[in-house]
Amino acid sequence: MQKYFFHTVANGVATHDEDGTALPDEAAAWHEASSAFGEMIKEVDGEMQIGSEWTMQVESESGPVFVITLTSSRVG
Amino acid sequence: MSSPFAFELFVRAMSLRDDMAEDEVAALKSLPVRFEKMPKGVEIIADHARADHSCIITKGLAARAVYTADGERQLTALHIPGDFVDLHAFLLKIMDHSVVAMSDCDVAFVSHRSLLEIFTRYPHLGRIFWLSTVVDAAIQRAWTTSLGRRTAAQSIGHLVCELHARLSAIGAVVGNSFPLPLTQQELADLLGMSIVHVNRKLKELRADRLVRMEDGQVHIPNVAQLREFSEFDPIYLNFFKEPR
Repeated sequence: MQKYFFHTVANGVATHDEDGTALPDEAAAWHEASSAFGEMIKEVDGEMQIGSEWTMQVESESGPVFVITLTSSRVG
Repeated sequence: MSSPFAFELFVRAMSLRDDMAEDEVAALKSLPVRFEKMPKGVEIIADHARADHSCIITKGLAARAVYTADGERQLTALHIPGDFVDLHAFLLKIMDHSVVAMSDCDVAFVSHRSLLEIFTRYPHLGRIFWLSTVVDAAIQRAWTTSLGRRTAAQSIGHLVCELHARLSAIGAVVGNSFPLPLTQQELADLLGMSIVHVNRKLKELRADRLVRMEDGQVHIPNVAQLREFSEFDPIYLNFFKEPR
């Protein structure tokens, strides 16, 4: 098991994960990140602002591993 | 030495809903039971099993589990001491889910034959048992609502409020704290969320002084406040006395 940290920025609010979650490997960390990011988006519920960027960055104890980004912008 | 009364906590919890006559309690005391210890993680009853016994939990925590093909699972119910967790098998005959020990459990098995006898002799007792499965269904409705319509933080809060109320009924809550010896993965399986999302929401709930969960122990700083936040209305737990 390795500790992974899931830091997020949503609606301009940055949340630093200090506790981390013990997971078997990177594949498990990716599965967790993509599920948790989906759950985070599900709870947006009309509150995402146009022109914002939401991210989830996954770090292992030896540094950053993945980042997921969702951006919104006006196109017309 | 006489063996412990397997239905002691069941009688305690159901007596909050209806009076049970002395001869009915005596009949429960005379039921032949087989006590067994189930270590954490053990499957008490397997999915698709055909059981001729039902089991009641006398100590510990158990859950109903349904597995998906890719090996994930949803824990669809949590059961505490006094819950006749597997009364369902008496009528289902073939199980559609497993029952798993979430902590080291003491369980008591009662044969379906002796249950049938007691239900036939004491119809009111039959209705009390029926009520316990109807309350199980009410709890299921509350969980479905959490899964579909409540926010993650509210769902966690609702579950904590429910366990607080159910454990209070058997005298297992001290100073608004109670043990909940679940791993992060087990909590995620229970709430239908990822581990990371559960952890994030637990952190929020702790920061908002609504729920503190650490080292297998849950503490609610202010029950009324958590109930309001989680939109928890205890009516579905049916803790009111009325003839049934």
